[in-house]
Amino acid sequence: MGLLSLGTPLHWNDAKKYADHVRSHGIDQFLSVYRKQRSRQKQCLLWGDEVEYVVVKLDKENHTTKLSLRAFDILASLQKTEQDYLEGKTTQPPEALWRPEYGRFMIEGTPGEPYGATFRDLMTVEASMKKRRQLAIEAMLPDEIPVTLVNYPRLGCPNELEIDSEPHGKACQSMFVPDEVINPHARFPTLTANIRRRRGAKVEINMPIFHDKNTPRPFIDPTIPYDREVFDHDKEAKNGAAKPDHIYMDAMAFGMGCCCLQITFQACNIDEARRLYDHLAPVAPIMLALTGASPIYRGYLADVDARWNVIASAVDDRTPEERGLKPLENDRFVINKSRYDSIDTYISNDAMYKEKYNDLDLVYDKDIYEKLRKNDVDDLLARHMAHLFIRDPLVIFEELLDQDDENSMDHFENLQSTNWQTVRFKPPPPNSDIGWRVEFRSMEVQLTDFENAAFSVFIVLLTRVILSFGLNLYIPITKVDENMATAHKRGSVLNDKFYFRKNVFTNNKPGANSNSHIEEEDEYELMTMNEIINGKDQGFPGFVPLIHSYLSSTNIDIETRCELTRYLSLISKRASGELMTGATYLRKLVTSHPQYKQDSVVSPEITYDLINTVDRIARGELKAPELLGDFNA
Amino acid sequence: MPAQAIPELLDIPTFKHLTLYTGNVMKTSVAGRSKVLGKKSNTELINAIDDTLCASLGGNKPSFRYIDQESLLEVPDLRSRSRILPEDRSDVEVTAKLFYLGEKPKDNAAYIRSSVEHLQRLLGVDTIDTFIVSLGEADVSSAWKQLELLHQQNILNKLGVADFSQKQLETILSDSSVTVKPSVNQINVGQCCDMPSAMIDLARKHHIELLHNADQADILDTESLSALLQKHNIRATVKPQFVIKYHVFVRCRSVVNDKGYVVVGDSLP
Repeated sequence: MGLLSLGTPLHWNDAKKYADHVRSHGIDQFLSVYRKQRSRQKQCLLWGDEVEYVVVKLDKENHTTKLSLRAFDILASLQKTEQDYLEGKTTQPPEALWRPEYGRFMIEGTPGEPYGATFRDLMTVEASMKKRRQLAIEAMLPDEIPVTLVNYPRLGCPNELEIDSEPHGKACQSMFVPDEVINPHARFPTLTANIRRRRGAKVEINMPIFHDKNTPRPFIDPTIPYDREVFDHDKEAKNGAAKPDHIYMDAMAFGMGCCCLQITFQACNIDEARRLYDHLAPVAPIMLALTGASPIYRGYLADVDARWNVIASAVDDRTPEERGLKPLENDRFVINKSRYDSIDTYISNDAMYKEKYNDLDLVYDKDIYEKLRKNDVDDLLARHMAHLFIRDPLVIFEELLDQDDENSMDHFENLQSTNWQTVRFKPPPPNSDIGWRVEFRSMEVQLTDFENAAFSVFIVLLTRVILSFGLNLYIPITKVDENMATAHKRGSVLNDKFYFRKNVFTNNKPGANSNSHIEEEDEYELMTMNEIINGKDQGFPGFVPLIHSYLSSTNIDIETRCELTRYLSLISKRASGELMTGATYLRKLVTSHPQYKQDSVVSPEITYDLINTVDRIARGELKAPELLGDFNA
Repeated sequence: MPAQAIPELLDIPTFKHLTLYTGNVMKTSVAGRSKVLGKKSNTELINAIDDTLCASLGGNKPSFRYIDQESLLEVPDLRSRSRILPEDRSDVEVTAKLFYLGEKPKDNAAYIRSSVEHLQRLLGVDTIDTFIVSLGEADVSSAWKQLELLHQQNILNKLGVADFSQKQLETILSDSSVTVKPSVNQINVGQCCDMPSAMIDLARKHHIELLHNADQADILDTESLSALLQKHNIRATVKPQFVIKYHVFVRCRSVVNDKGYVVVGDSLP
């Protein structure tokens, strides 16, 4: 997550004084890269995946699990190969790169080198992921396991940490999690505390509880210590922050402690990057729903299947004024979303874009906009940057305040990397061959490497399909936001419909008259997940059939094609309901457990069996036909 | 067209030969709409011809070229330009597949020469990276001799066959008069349940790529082609002689920039 510079991070009271400095130089740094790199052409497809894991201590003798806080030590061991390589001690490049994440219980792995453009490259993804899992296991203690669960189900419940601490940490000031869950690098506790200080309150996360037969109505959570008086912020829960019928969480760890699957790929030039950004934005909520695998929070079954809104609330640093709760006095803007959320504006300049798709009243910094325009940045891109830069930098290192704007992107990345969006437009780093890139960020990590590989390959193939067929996936941004909300709903893959463009092949109708039928051409409608992924008769062909058409238009060999068909078949069956989503499967593991009392409570015993089961499935020791059908993990 | 209206025939001179270009079916939605999983089909070509006839001959101003001396009617697709810029040529791979249709042609080699010329003109290229022949009833050896000649002239690089059985592959590989061996055999393995392991081993031993084939060999017949023409108010019965399928693949980005067909046929009296 973001950059890990070295130095002394400033307390919010000091950091806010330098906000304009960071923003102003951040824009200068962007302009420097923009000037130097905007004409770069013909870059090849290179891409990579990021898989995140939680580290769990699994005690098979006592049937207990604990979240292990040893990620820091585990990473030191995992990173040795990379370090040796960078220091010239070996010529063998590392097979995987490992990075710390927000949680002290989390590790993140990426392939040692980016994948290339060929179909053969797509076939190496699963092996790379399996290798990473193996390396992680080898770096851990015998009773520790890396699990690709979106979250540890009982994070925030008492006695779930190894090693345990009381939730009395000054950074989080949470009633449920101690500061020990946060990565010890200075950046993370500072980020946590500064979000709280800027907001003026703890973050407030409320996910609807799943009401089962014996779940009380209304559900008032008995595990919340309403009357605690360790910190001033403790009274927020009883003063309304903890909503009835919801699972209340009060720390960044509940959000940023979630694991996801992210894909970053390089475009051939800046225009292609902008175009893919735009067309992947409507795909983000679709994939969030399809990969949904997080139905449990703080030991309770929730009525949501996906994590996005949890994270959005977990880092929401907006003040009451910015949230529109008080008239604007000290703050400049009323802002409609948390700094972690879906995008607010399309940015592509090509012929398919139309102004009516950007139907959100965009909040942006007018001065920054003007400066960008004066420096030859076009309107859409200038508005996008000026919108990202309405935020304050939350972590500022005193030693790094003064930078060489021609050779550093630190100040730019400060804002860029703390605007966490569904898709991210990434300019090239300075002094590098790396080009303009897009990051696809909405997917939830899946239980097995087979699934993670399938979804990664699916997204990459989808980008090739968008480019080869010239697909137009534009719908109004507000409809993409509505889809994000729908994507959270329990069982949305089977039960709900999503807004989707009716005609994705625009400009292509035989005898197309460019003036008539335009409104009709741009229509969107509500479609089921099955229709979006597998197609509807006489309508949208479906993402999977489109990918097959694309593959049939290439010189792909039969073996590679058959392998890719396996991945596409998994995606297809998840969308049709023939196979369960991760969330549905995890729910079933809980509700069918003999000790489950139909009261939404996910006890330590149930958690042990759940984690043991998913670990065995990931290792290929246990079959899960409802989740994976005939496919092997 | 309202049912009561009497369809007007298009004002097209009587022609002996027809050449029709489908243009880029990737961008016209035709390729996107072909359901391709499993068995071989020709739906994409049929839809592409229909689509081009509509685009070029429909509307108020029909576009076609009539070459008097040859009694040749050319129907272009005006929606896209297929010419590859010289500076982009090394970035892409051009693949062509020639489908022999109808009974044995008198001159096998002529179809090959003709296809190569069509593509050189259409795509603005001198060379074709992979050339595959789908022979049908046509004689292998005379066709192959022509391919080898073009290979020696550096016009064709990789040569390939379609739907060759293991026996046919073994025959051509052991034929000493064949100087340039096929590098490609296109086959269809349906839903991937039965992979032909013996052929896979043979192919691996002789460095032959086994590529996926989604096309039926008899990709176009007189009945279908004539029905399409009649649908667009051209009263003619045309027998297809051959069809060229081509695609242009951007190698380092895995993007299909262009894909289309050229249909060549003769009018029947």
